[in-house]
Amino acid sequence: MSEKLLVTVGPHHHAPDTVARIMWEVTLALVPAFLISLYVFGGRAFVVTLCGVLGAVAGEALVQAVFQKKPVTLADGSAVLTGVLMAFSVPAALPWWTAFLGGFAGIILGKQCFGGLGQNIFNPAHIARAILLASWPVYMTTWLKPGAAAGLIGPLPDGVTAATPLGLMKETLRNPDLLNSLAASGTTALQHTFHELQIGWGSLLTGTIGGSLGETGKLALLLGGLFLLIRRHITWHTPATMLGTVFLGSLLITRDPQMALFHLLSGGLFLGAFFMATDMVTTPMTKVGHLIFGFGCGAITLLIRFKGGYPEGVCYSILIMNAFVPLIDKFTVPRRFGEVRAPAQEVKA
Amino acid sequence: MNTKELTKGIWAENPIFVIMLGCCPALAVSTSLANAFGMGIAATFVLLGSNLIISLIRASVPDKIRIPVYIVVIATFVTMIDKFMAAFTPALSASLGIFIPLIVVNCIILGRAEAFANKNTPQDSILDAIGMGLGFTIALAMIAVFREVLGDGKFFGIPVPLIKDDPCLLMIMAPGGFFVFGLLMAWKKHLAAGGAK
Amino acid sequence: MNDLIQTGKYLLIISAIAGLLLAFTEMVTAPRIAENNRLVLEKARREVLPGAERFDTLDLATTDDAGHPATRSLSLGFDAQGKFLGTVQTVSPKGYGGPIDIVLGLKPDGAVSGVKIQSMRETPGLGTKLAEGFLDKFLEVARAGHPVKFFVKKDGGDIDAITAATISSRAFCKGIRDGIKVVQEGQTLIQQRAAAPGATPLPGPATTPVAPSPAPAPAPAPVVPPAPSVPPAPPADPESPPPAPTVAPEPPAPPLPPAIPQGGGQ
Repeated sequence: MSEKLLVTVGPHHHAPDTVARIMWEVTLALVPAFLISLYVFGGRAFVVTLCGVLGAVAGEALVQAVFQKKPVTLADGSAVLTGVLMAFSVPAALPWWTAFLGGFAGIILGKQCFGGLGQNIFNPAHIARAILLASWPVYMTTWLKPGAAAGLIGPLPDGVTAATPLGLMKETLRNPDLLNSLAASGTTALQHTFHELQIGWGSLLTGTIGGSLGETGKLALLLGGLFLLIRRHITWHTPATMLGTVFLGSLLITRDPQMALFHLLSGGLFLGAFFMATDMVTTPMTKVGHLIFGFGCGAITLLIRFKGGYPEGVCYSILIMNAFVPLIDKFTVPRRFGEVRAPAQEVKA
Repeated sequence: MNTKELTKGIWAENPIFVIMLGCCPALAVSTSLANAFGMGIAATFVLLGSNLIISLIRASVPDKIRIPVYIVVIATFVTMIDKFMAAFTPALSASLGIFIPLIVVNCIILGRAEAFANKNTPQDSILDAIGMGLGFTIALAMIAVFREVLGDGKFFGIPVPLIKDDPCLLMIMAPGGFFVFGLLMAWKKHLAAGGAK
Repeated sequence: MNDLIQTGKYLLIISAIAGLLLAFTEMVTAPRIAENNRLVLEKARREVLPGAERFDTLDLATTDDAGHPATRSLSLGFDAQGKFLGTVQTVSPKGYGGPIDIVLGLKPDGAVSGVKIQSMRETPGLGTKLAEGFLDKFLEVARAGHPVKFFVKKDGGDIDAITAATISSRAFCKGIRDGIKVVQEGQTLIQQRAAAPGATPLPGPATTPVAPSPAPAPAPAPVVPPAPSVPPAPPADPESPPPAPTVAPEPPAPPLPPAIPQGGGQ
C-alpha cells in the first residue's frame, strides 16, 4: 500500500463535525458531572481522573509510535475521552496507579488490539472497568463516603468508606433476618437504605452518595446529556429506551413506584445511558437499532441488579449488548436504493 | 541425525504458538512456572513414548483404523505412567500427577502421532517428540512467567517486591491466560514477519 | 469382507494387549497406591490432632444438607497411652469452584484442635487464600475462645472473611459447623468408643432407659436391635439438641443416636 495514501475515519464529506470536535464536545459535556464529583469526593476524584487519562494517552501513544508507526495523533481526544469515562465509572478511592493501568489497558486491549479508532467492538472505558474489577476487586468495591477527607493519594484513613445505595439495598434484600425485623417495625427496605446511609431523594439527584466517581450527579449528567442531544451528537432513542426499560421493568418486578424511581436514579444508569450506550463506534447505526440496543441494555441491567451477584449491572449490560451490535445492524440497516436481495437476483439471472 | 526434526518444534513449528495444539492444558496450567514445567516435562515424556511406539508399529497398522489404534496406545501408555508414578514415586506424582489426565486429552500427542510418527522412522520420531515437547514447555513457561509474576506477584513461588501486595488477579484467571496467549502469539507473528510490515 | 475381519482382528489384538498391560499395572500398583493414600491421610490426621498415635474408625449416621441420611467416617485419635485425644474427619463443603476438602480435628470438648485443607478448586489468588493467611487467623480465633461462632462476620459470626472471597470463606465456615454437628450428634457413641478403644461398638444393648443429658430429651428414637448385622435405625432428627459434651466417658445410655455398625457403611 502506498505510504502517501491517507485513510481517515468517515464521514468523508466536508462538515464541521470532525472526530476531534465530537470527542472534545463529549468531554465538555462531562464537565458538570466532574465538578460534582470534585465537590462530593474531593481532590481524590481529580487524581483518579488525571491518572486514568494519562494511562489512556500513554497507551495510545505507545501503540501508535511503536506498532503502527503512525504519527502520534492524540489531539483527536478519543483517548482522553476514554480515560475520563473510565475514571467516571470507578470508585474515587481507587489507588492512582490502578486508575493509570485501567486507562492503559482499556486503550491497548479494548481499542488498539482491534485496530484503533472506529474498529473496536467493545466500549474501551467499560473494558477497562471490567479488567480492573476482575483484577483488583477489593479496590474496585471500596467506595468513598461523600465529603470524607481521604487525602489525595495513599492509603485511606479509617471511616471514610461507605456502601453504595444499590449495594446496601442488595445486602438488605439478601438478609432474611433483617427483612423480618424491618417488616415487624413497618420499615421498607428503601427507608432502611436511606436511613442507614443518611440520604434522601435529593442526594440521589445531586450526587452526594457513595458510588463511582462520576456516576452520582444525576442532574449534572442529565445536563451533559441534553447538551449532546442539542448538539446532535446523540439521539434520544438509546438513552430513553434504556432508562425507560429500567424504570418500567423495576416497576413491574417490585410493584412499587418508589423502588422503580430508586433503580432509575441509582448506580451508573445515567452515565451509561447518555455517554456509554451512545458511543458511535460500538453501538448500532440505525434508529431502530438504537431502540433495540437501549432495550437490551436496560433489560440486562435489570437482570443483573435483581438476579445477579453484583449490585450494579450497567457496565456489563452495555458490554454484552456491544457484542450484539453487528447482529442488530445486520437486521436493521436498510437496503440502499436500487439494492436487490440476493435470492431475487439469482432468479433474474 | 536430522537436527531439523529436533529444532522445528521449538520455534518454526511451535505446537502452541504456531500449530496451536494443546491450548486447553496450556491455558489451564500456565498459572505458575512450576506448573508450566511440570506439565511440560510430563507431556514431553508421554510424547516421547507414544511417538516411539507408534513409529515402531506404524508398518503393521491398517490405515483405516489407525486413529483408534493410536488412541488405545496413547491411553494405555498414559494410564500406565500415571499408575506407576502414583505407586513408586508418590512425591513426583503429587506434583505432576494432576497433569497426567490432562495429557490424555492433549491434542499434541495424537497430532504428532498422526502427522509425524506414522510416516517417519523411530529415530526421527524421537527427535520430533523431544523438539515438540521442548517447544510446548517453553511456550507454557513464557505464558506462565507473565501470569505468575503479574497475577500472583511471585516468580517460581518467590514473592516479587512491589507486585506481591496487589497482584493483578485477572492474569491468573482464564481471561488473563487468553490475553497473554494472544499477545504472545501476535508478538511471535510480528517477529516471524520480519519485525515490520 | 475379508478386510473387515482383518482390521477387526487387529483391533482385537491391540485392545487385548492394552487390557493385559493395564491389568498387570493395576495388579502391581493398586496396593501401593492405597498404602500411599493412607499415609497421606495419616499424616494429615496427625497434623490436625497433635499427639495422636493411633486412630480408630467410627462411622456415624447423619443427614446431609437436603435431609437425606448420610454416613460420616470419623477417626478417633488416641495417644500412646491410649488416652482419647479427639476426632478427625474430612468435611467437603461446596466452595466457589467445587468442593473444598478439609481435614478437621476436634478435641473431646468440641474445640478445634487443627484444620488442614487437603484439596480445593477455588479462584487462585482469591479463594486460595483460605490455605494462606485465612487459615492461620482462623486457627487463632478457633483456639483462643471457646465456644466460637463459626460464621463469617458479615453473617454475625467470629470469623474474618477473605476480602472479595466471601463465598469461599462462608463455605469453609459451613464445613467446620457441619463437622462439629456430626461429632455432637454422635457424642454418646464416640465416648463409648473412646472409653473402650478397639472394641467393636455395640450399637444397642440398652440398659438404663434414663437420659443423662439435662437437655430436653430428643424424640424417642426407635430402640436399635442388638444384633450388629441388622440395618441401622432411621437417621436422627437433625433438629434434636445434641447431648451436652461431658469430659469423662459416661456409660452408654439410650436413646442412642443411631449408628451404623463398623464396616456397615463401606
